[in-house]
Amino acid sequence: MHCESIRVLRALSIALAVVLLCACSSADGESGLHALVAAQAVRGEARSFVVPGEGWDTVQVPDFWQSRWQRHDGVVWYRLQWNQVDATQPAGVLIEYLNMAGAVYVNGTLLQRDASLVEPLSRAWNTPRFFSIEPPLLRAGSNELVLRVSGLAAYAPGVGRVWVGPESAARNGFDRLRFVRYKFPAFAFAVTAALGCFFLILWLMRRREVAFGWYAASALAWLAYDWNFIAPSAWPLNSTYLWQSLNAFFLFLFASAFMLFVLRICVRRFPRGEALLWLGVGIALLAALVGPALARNAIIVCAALLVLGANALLVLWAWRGDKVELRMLSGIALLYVVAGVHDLLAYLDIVRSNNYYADITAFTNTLCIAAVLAWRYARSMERVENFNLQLQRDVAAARTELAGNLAREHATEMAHARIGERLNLVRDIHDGIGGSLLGNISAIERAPEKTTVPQLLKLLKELRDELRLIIDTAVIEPANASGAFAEQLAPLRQRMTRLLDANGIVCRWDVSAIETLRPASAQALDVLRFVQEALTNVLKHSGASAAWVSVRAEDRGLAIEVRDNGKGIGATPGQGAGTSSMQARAQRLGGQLMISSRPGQTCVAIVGALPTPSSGACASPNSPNFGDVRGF
Amino acid sequence: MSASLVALSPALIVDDEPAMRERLAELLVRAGIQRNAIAFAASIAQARQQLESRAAALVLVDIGLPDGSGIDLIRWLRHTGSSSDAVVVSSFGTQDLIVQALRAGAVGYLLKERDDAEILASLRSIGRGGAVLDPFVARHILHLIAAAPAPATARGEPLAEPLTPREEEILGWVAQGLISREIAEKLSRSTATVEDHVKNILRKLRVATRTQAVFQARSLGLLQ
Repeated sequence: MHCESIRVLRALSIALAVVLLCACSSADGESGLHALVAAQAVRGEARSFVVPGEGWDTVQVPDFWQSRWQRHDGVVWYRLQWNQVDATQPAGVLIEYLNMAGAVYVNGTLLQRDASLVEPLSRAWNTPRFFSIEPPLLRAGSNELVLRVSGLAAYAPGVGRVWVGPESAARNGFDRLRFVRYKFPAFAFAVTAALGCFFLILWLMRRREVAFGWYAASALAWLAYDWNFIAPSAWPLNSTYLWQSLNAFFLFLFASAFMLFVLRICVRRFPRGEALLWLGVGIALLAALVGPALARNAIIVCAALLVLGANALLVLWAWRGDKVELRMLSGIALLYVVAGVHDLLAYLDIVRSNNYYADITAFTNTLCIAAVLAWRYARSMERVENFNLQLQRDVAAARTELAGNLAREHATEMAHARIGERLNLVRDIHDGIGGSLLGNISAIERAPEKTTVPQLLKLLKELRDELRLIIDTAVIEPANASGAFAEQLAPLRQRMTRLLDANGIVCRWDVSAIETLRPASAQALDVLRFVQEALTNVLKHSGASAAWVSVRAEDRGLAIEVRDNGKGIGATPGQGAGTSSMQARAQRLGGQLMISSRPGQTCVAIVGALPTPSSGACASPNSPNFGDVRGF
Repeated sequence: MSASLVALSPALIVDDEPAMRERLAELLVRAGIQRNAIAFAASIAQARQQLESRAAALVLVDIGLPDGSGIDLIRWLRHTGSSSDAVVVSSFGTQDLIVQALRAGAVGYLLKERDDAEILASLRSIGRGGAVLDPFVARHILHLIAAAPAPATARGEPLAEPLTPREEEILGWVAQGLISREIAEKLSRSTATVEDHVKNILRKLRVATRTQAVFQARSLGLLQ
């Protein structure tokens, strides 16, 4: 990008230099053309079109009459003669310019006349003219060219160089002059306008790029100034004086905007100096509007000095800094300084020239600055794109890392859950089988002789039932993610009902409103154990013919109730142990154990169990209590 | 305790544990089957031999046999077109295993750890020509019905025939842990009727040879 843009800039500069050189060769030394130098001049009446008879002075063209007739604003007649050897071929007459407007006669015949020869004058100061003269107008021998020029003393009035010769040679010369003085400036004007508008829009879209804004401002101010080179009339103004003054002001405006552009592109700010500059702009406007015609010169000199200063600063800062685009700009600035000095000297009449190069170099300048700005823009776009790429890479990396973390986290969670499940199982075994195993072992150890086979059988069956409960709940939970309590209750219900049925006890169940109940596995087991114990008691001891089981979710919590129509609890000895384990379960469930018993009507119940189904009142399944397990 | 299992005579007990064989034989005798109508086998090979020489009305099969799984024996029974009622008597009963056995054609699944009275009650149901289902098996079948089209796994194959509304209703009760008597009371029917329904449900759960062929053809894209 970098090298490429430099190459483009270099190619552009070379092309422009070639164009410039061609243009500057001008019409001098045209093959076959003869320059008319000797002439006679006389002041004329503003409204008269009659060639004055006398008072002719001998002059040389090109001529600026203000050195001879200071303050003469009006008409001056010029008379030039040439000798035509062969009048059979058409002759060509080429006039560089008439400043400001005028009329052209050959041998007393009017050939051309500008639209307005009184104020506001037509603006023909930069317009070359070409005429093809044929017989009978063309005479063999002496021919006379008369020029009637309307001009203002303040603005270098007079006539440019004049040539005669073969028609084709004069036409070629005219084409060349017209290219330099009109076609190229018009082209430059259009391109500058386009670039100015482009960067203006860019700046409007992106106010942070102030350099773009000042570039646009300087380009637009330059357009206002540059219009002078191609405008055919003073429209929309009605005075040549005002036109010239405002023209100078626009140059100053351009110089100020350009200065600001230089400051901003070099990232410099001088608030006081800048305020002074804008004060100068105000003064320049005032001087242009109400000042004398000569104020124009002061404004132009100031503007030129300002532009030269801005370019000098640009060169200085560019070579002090390390920005490539500024160094590129500084090269162009140098070229501009040279052209500017030449134009200034020409304008101040120190160098005799009607060729102003600033217009052409300003154009190259405009192009090069636009190229540099575009390069800068492209660079920043590139940075943005690189940033985006980097950002994408970063985001992708972060995403991968995050996914990895999540996967690890998930794996850890799974491991925790598995450990938790295992610990739950261990605790269930500890609470259930462990407890009764320990109790019975110590009872048998204390009185081994009293232990009977039925007692041992009872103990083993208890252990087996407990194991069945644990296996049932452990198997159901993982298989069915819902782990609903109703599903855990079903196998116990079926088993106990069938068992009681087989023993001649009709068992009726009332299970209601527990569909949404999801207790922790330890609590579910406690409820199941309670029901199993109570029903086992009914089976073993009550001698009942009917039993009723009710498991209901109520407002106060879960109510579990087992009733029978047997002989009552007190009637059978050795039932105390069962009651104390039921008490412990009720406590763990956060409920209250209620036992009422008389012959024919026994009820064992826990009310208000699991007060808030999902509260932390009970050990969470994910944080098992290790103390419990160690005690086993 | 008076109902007899005469309909299930003769019986074959397939278990490699002598104590278990003796216990089961005693239970059968208590249920009314003659001692000499009970045959024993300790392996699948022996069982096949026995069955080829003498058909049995009831076959009690252990799962973990020295020369294979009892489920294979049940499958073989179905394959040979035997009319025997096969009942699994196992020491472990994971859901997978039970469903597999039922789908292979078992009419019951009993756990050795259960009280004699429980096992006897189940055997009586079978003797009456009915069947008993565990609640989670009922739930499994309900899931199968709900999740149509069923996934193409051995366990999840679609049912051979759709269930009737009455059967679905009964399954719902079983899933909640109700026993046949309770269901019969709710439906004002006899227990035998309910158990007959359950047996029908089990038959529909079974993987029929024809259904299997159709299912495979479908999965191979031969049938729409």
